[in-house]
Formats: sequence, structure tokens, C-alpha cells
Amino acid sequence: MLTSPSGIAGLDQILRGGFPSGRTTTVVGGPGCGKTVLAMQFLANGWTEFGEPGLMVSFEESPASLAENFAHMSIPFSDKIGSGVHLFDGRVPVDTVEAGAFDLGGLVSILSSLVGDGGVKRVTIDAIDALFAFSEVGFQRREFLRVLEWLTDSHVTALLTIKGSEDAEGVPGLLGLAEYAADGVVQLRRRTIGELSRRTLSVVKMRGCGFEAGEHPYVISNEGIRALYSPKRTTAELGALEVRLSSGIDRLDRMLVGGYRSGTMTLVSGLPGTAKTTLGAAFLDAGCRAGERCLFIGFDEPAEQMIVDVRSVGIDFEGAVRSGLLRAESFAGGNVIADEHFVTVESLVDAHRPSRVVIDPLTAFNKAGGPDIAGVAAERLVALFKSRGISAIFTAVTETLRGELEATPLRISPISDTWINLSFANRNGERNRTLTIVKSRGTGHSNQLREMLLSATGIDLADVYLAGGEVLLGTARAQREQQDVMEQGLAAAKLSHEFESLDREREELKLRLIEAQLGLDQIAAQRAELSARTNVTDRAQARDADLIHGLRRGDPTE
Amino acid sequence: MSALREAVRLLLFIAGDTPRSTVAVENLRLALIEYQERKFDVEIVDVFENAGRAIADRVLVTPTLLAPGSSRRLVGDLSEKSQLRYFLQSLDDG
Repeated sequence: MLTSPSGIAGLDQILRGGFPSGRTTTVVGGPGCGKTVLAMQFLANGWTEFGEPGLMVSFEESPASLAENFAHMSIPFSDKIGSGVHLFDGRVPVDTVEAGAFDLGGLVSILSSLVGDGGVKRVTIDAIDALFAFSEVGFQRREFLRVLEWLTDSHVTALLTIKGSEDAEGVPGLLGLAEYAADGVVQLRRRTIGELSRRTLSVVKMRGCGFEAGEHPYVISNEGIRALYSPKRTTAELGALEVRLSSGIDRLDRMLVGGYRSGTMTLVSGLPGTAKTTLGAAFLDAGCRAGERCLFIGFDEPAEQMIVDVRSVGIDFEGAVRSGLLRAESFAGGNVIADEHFVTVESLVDAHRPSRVVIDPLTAFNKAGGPDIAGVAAERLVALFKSRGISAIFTAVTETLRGELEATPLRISPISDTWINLSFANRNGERNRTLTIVKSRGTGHSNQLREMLLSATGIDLADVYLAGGEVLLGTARAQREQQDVMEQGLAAAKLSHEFESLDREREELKLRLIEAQLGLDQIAAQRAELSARTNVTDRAQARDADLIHGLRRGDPTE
Repeated sequence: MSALREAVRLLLFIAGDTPRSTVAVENLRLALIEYQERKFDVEIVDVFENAGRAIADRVLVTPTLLAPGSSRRLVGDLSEKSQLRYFLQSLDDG
């Protein structure tokens, strides 16, 4: 079946193309769900993107107030009035009194006239439920079906918005009627989570068309509605897996056998102050040097602050920002739902088309509606990045030193390809930064703990020393390094001594092995002798039994 | 005294020759015969023949009876005679 795209990001994917052309779809939702916005976008995009003139009949708001409502949005509704999109004020005058049976003949005549004159292809009737405030019995059902029939006969693609949801008040019976009589039904929902509200949409039915089932989050911004739809993974990404991208730190690249794999996700977790942002910045710096487009999105501190901060480790982003290679943006973390963060990231990705992205920190999503919603939003981000072939680093703030390795922030650790944990080691009155690669899918990475050194010349990783089973860091490591140089000869001697003593021990054990084998052989021989003797005794007993049997004249034995 | 006042204009919007349209026209005619206090100048508009008039007066529901200059309007086939009478009287009051 032909579809008419709404031009609304995500929604057309969910509808697998758009609303069925020449058919009528009802959009049902409670107050504040954005029904009118959706209807308007459908018309505005229809005209600007697909050259289809539209008509909106509004039963609730005057064209003036609609234009005003949409004035602050970037959708140029008001520009469309009188050109490609016509608005008709369908509000029932306040002083209307019922005096007998009536019908919607006027509406049908008005629709016919406006649609016919303007070559209108798309019609939306906003808040059609307002007409059903009339009390006449039989009117609602009869006239609703009449309007539907007219829309179908006119071959326009229509959206009817209806107030109400299964858990809210609406016109009794109208929802059921709409769901049964219309070709398609889209349900919009709004729920409150804490102080935030979350919106989801689902396609209840779509006659003759496939659609993506389930509830899909959507957000309303000044660009209108945007639905969140996770694109299916493409196989194209698989081909790119073996390209390695520099992490910006030579030693880390070596630990990762060449760097991060292109198009994969890296999680960098750690306590506050463990240089997670710095690790992300190094990754972007390496990207900018290679001429790749990079995007930094900060939720904790202003992006400008990050740019200033990383100068202390020798990373200078000024040039990259000026040339437009690097885009650094920051947003307040907690006052919107995680779905909106996703949309923010998605629109920045669309606008900047980066090949490397850093989200710092992803755990900011947790503040935005709780871990469940944040987890889903994070998964969507991963799907988005993978579908665009973007390599990304997500930082995650961990709360405790102990829990950091078990923690799986936002369900991202299972879907991230590489997981690096940063920590502190407090020893001998020093606090030293450490880095561990917890996992790196498809890479024979080093599992050793490294000390992370930050200096004005850059970021480096140092080997750690094991002494008595303990990792040496900082001054202790430096001392140990010196000591090592001095004691190299001694160490060599000690080593050969240890070899010797091991060899001795081995010989001794070999001897013991031979002894033990001899002992086993002896025992085996003794056992053989014993069992031979047992057989002799058994035969003697059998003879005695026969004799006794004969004496007693017993029955013959079998 | 009433004869000196000019006639009140009434617009009755109907949608084709449906039973509701016919009944409305008839009900209005009878009411005006009964209601002698005032002269009325009635125009019947068929929305299917003149959609522009329906658009101009925002007549979505048919039949609709209105008087230009008054915000009051009646919808329906005017079978509720008391409502119709009240409507006509209200026009008289100004």
C-alpha cells in the first residue's frame, strides 16, 4: 500500500513509510500528548517536503491561537497558512442551542469545497471529539461514520485527532468506534515519572500496512515531535570492524593491539577525578589529527571547561573547533527525560556527521528518569552509532571503589565492545591513577593494570611492578625501577639460583615417584598371592559339603 | 408599533433535500405564522450549493438557524418548538 510520509523523524520508520495514503488514521491521546503538533507537522511537512497541499479543521483552537502556539517552534506553520496549508476554524459557536435532529452536512460541504479548490491531499481534523459534545442520540456514531466515508471517497490522507486514552475520560463510545471504523489508530501516551513526564506512542492498528509494534518513546521540542526508533543493525558495519582507531595514547593503543576497533563502543568507567574525560578527549584529539569529524557531548560541565581543562595534558582543541572538525556541546543533565537526551544527541549527530563521539558522562541519563529508561535510551544510542558507523566512548561515573568492576552502568557494559576502568590506588601516602582493560571484544588485549600518568606533554601509561604480589605505583614504582637497574646483576644471579633450586626439587620428586611406583608393584604382588590362596580354601569347603550331603541322604543337588 | 420596526433577517442553512432539511423549513414556516409580533425575512441556504456561505458563517452542523448580527444560533430540525420560540423572542429583545 502507498504511504504518505509524515516527515516526522522516527515515526515514518515505525509506520514503515508513513500513514496509509488515501486512508484515515485516528490519533488518540490525552491532553498534552502533542496530537495537534503531530497533525500540524504532518501537514507542514506534507507541503514543504512532498508538495502536497493540506487542510486542518480545528475544532478546539482558533487559527490565530494555533499560529501563536506554533510561532515559537521552528516549524513554519504560520507561513503556510493561506499557501500550502489551509486552516479552518471549526469551533462550534458558544451560543449554539440544540433544537432537534441535525447532522454534519455543513462540515462535509465545507470539506468538499476547501479540498476541491486547493487540490488538497492531506486533511487533519483536530479534536473531532469536540463535535460530540452534542447530546443528540445517534448523532455521534452516524456522523462520525459519515465524515470517515467522505474522507475515504475523497482519496485524501487524513488524520483525526481524538482526546482520550484507555485510562482517561473521553467521549464515551467514540474511541471504540474510531478504533474499529478508522483504517489506522495511533495511540499517544504521557506518563509522569518523578517530576519528569515521558511520552510514548504505539500503533494500535494500520490496515493493510506493516508497522513496528510496541511502545516507542517520543519527545516534543521546538522542532516538533520526534519519535525514537532504533534502526536495525546493518551488515555494512561488520566490514569496518578491523580498522583500528588510535586512542590518542600510544601505550593504550599497544595494549589494545592497535587501538579501538572502528565503529565500536567503548565504556570508560571510574570514580570522579580518574581522568575519564581526559581519556575521551585524547580519543577525539587523535581523531581531529587524522582529519575526522568529532563530537563531544558533556552533561556534567560546560564543554568550554573541558577544552580548557585538557590543555593541562597537552591537548589543544582550539584549532579543531575553529576549523569545524570538533563540535563540543554541553547540556544540563537532570531536568529532562533520557529520551530527550537521546534526541539531542541524535540531532547533533545528524547535523555534524561525526565519525567519533564522546558522551561524558552517559550516567547523566540515570538522573533523567531512572535506570530503566536511561538503559533503553543508552541502547538506542549504541544502535544509532552502530548504524552510522560511529566509534564512541561513553564515560560512566562509578560511585564506589569496591563496586566498580561489578557495576554495569546503564546496561551499557554488555553492549560495549571495550570496557576500560579507571581507578585510584592509595599506597604509601600516594594516590595514583590506574587503568585496566576489563574487556575488549575480539582483541587479545593486555589484562595488566597500568599506571596512568598525566603531564603537560600528554597522557602516558607506565608498567606496574609486582612486588610480593602487590602492584607498585607512583614513587614506589619509580624506586623499584631504579632498584631494578642497580640490582640487575643480583637479580640475574638470584634467577639462576632459583632455576637451580627448582631443578633440584624436580630431581627429588622424580626419585620419590620411582619409589612410590615400586611400592605399588609390591602391593600388587602381595594381593595376587592372597587371592591364589583364597581359591584353594574354597575348593576344600565344597568337597566337605558333598560328603555331608551324602551322609544325610539329601535330595540330589542340581 | 411592531409593524413599524423593520423585518429581522434569518438564515436557515440546510444540506440538500434530506428529511431533516425539509422538516426544518416546515417547522420554521409554522413558527413564523404563529409568531406574529415581528416580521422576518428568511433566506434558506443549501450548503451543498453554496459552500462559501457555510464557510463564511462557520456552519458545520445542519440545519442551522441564525440571525446575522446575533451570536445565538439554533441547530437541528427545529422540532423543539419551545427552543425555536425562545430564539425568536430573544431576537426581538435585541
